[in-house]
Amino acid sequence: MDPDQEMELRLRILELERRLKEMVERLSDAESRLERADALATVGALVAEVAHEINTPLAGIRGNIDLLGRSVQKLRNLVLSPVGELTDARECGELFPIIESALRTSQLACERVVNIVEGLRRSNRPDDGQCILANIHDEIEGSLSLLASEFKRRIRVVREFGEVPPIECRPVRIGQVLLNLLVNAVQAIDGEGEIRIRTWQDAGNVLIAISDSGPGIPADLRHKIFEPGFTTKSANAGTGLGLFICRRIVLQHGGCIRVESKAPQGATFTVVLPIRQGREKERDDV
Amino acid sequence: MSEFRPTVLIVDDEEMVTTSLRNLFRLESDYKVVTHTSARKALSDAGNTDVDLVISDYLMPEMDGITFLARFKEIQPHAVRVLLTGYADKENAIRAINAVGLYQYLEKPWENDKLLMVVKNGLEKRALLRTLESKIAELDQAHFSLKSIQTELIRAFM
Repeated sequence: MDPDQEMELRLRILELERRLKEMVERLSDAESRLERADALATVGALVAEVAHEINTPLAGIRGNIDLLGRSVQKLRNLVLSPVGELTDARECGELFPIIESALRTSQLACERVVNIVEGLRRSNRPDDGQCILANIHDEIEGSLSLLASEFKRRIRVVREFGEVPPIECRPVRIGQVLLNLLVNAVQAIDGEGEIRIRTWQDAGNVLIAISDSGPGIPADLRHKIFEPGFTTKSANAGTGLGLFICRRIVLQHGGCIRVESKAPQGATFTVVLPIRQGREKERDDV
Repeated sequence: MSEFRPTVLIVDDEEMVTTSLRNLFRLESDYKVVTHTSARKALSDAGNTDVDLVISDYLMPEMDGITFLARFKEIQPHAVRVLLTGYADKENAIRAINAVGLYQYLEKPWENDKLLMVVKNGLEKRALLRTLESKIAELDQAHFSLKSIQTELIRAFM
């Protein structure tokens, strides 16, 4: 090969390398957007639930503000009435317990709204791609708070939280995995049922098992559930990307997801996450 | 003789709702108010207190508001029934109008003025029904007396 040919070949290799790098970057960008879109779709599907959950404290606040206005008006009438017509100091005194109760109830209602909004903010936190130490129980509770009205109405949640250390992870993405699994569990239960969440530590990993009392996953479908586009839900209930993305996120953390199901006895998804990153081991998933 | 004070029952699993409504009625009415945060408990107590109007939340953990009102209707058929719903439950509320003979449904967050008006009108309806029932009973009695007189008259002329 003459030097000119060699030079040309080198230039072509460099060009191909550049294009490959560009494609990898675009792919990675597309994957991030897909993850983000899935996160938004999951939270979006919960909008009606969250709106319902905010509605009750809002009703309390609205009703109590009006009640306080009425109480102030009554006090004003009593205090400003001509001397001698002031019926009784007792009448004024009777208003104070109502005012105090309205203030206390409004305060509780405000705290409830703050907690719900905090749950929403958690699920929509910016993800800078950095791993930090996070408490897995906080992530579970954040996801549970978004599904509160379902749990109140028909599903009992059993928490079997073990002693687990904080794990090094991208909390936004792990929160997304947990929310996805919980939404799936809720949707799997027709009518009343139970979701059991168990956490424990095993060697260098933290394990989170989410079990539902739904009908379970038939054996012939079990190997397909992590494939992109596979869904058993109706068109407006699922994109078929949730579990595929969950698996991707967990693998990126050096962990794995396992599924066990003995139809018709419900399903258990177990997420295994290493406590510290950078000590990845070979793990089997599914 | 003391004046009749109607009894209003409020059932909502959220204490902040029962407290808010109890305070509102305390401030703006002379109704006797009974509250429950458990629909089951409200049903088990339903035999002890005569209720003129019952307000029930729709979304409750033990049973939904329509089921509760249907069961309450079996125990106290004359109590006026009002459902308190979130916007998302509106369709269920409309269905309940026929299913449990619902007098009215109110959406959360409610307006105190509207709620007071609905309750006042519901209690007036209850009072009118009560009067109607007593008039019917009087008419029945009068009818029975007339029948007796008629029988006696027929006997007298025979």
